[in-house]
Amino acid sequence: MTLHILAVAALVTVQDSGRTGYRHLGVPVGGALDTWALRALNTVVGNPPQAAGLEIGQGTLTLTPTTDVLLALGGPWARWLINGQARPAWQAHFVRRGWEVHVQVLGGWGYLTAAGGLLTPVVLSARATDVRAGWGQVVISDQQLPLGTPGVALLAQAGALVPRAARPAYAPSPVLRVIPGPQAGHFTPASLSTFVHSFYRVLPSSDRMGLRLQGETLHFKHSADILSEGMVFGVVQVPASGQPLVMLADAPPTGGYAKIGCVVHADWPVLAQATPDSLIHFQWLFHP
Amino acid sequence: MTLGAFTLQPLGDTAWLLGLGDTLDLATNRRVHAWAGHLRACAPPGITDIVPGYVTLTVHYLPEVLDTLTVRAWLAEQAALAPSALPQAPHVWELPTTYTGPDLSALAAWSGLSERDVIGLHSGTTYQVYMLGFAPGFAYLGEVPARIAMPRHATPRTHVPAGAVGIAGPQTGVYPQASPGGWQIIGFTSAWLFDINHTPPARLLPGDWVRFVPQ
Repeated sequence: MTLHILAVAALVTVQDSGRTGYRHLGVPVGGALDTWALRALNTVVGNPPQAAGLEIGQGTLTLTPTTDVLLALGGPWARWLINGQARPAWQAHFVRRGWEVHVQVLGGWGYLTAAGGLLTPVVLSARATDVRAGWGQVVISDQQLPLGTPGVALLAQAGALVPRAARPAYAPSPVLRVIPGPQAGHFTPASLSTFVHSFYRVLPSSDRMGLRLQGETLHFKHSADILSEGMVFGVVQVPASGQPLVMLADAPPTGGYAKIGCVVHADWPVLAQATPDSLIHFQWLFHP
Repeated sequence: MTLGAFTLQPLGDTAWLLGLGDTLDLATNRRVHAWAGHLRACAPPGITDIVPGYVTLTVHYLPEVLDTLTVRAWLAEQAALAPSALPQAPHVWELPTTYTGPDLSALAAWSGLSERDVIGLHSGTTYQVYMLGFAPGFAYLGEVPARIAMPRHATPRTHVPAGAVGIAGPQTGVYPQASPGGWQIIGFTSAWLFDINHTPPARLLPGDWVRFVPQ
């Protein structure tokens, strides 16, 4: 029982909800960038939300299951053909053994889940792929990814859907709500205003560690450097250059730059799906 | 050791930052570890990580399990109950080290000391594990004697091998895995520092003590 990978032309990794409980040992949480999407897509195929699936960057992926299975695909700009037929995203589809599944992700990140979940090896209580640490599985052609036993009757579960109204308001140029950070007071009042009254462009050098942004320079009253302390997904750090960095899944658990703010948890899926060259508009949830 | 004043600041809506001081000193950092031990022992379900910084603790929670104000109230309440000493005697680790790093001679020149004296000062000090970060198992150790506290390289090396022992200002540490890095590399240790098959996977834990033993 496997997903047989036929062709990969994208960054594809096995991801789950990540490894919590190890941050004090320097271990990044990692896991899916858009955990909301992965969890929702696990639910529609009858998996526990933390099961492992595939995270698919911009590009294409072709695979075929070696057993009858339920698959679901989601993401703001992901689409697929199952056995040559276009099928809706965000829905569980019954896929016969040997049918070809062709996934195309036009931007952001797509997620593919299979009933039973992917059973790649567990490292520190997660299957999440951390490329720098060498943990998990970067997906390549001709690979067989082991599948677990589905917890549901496939035909009964087929058709289950993530309702449109429940999905995050994905947008190519999102508005992100921000709670003032512990060092908001390190910035000049003018820069606290600039931060929410201008647009920041996502640079192509952004990756799973974080978004590098370019826009109006932010100025400090105090130093940009602080004694290293904890960070979370969505923290906006500003180094001495005055150009913000938004930390994502593979960021280290601690950092030493001033934190102007933190993107609220509800906006993490939209943040995770921001694509290179998109424009981000920050908004204070309450003014610092 | 008393646990005087503290500050609580939100780190978004999934963590609280508990501040125990503004300046790096050993006493403040020991309070951080005393608090970490105390909070770990009584954390309610939904608290996922308690992460020491130099002078802070970051307390992460699952927003679907715990309300942010509930976590804040719990942390504030613990202030009255927090421990008056470290929960247990810190572990002292001895790391066998060969002082043959590529930056040893430059550091000796910078300090005006002989290489032998640099090694004597570095290995003659017992260091506190202030915190872990940067990479799995990377421990920030201090405090390095001022004479040999050379700043890091302006441009980091693209490759520092696993086991490299470095100095960056008042800090010293060992790279657990090969990575880019800017610290002044003075030696190498063969001691393991991070092993996923070990519990806990990191050898040096926040609050532990470390000595480098010349080989």
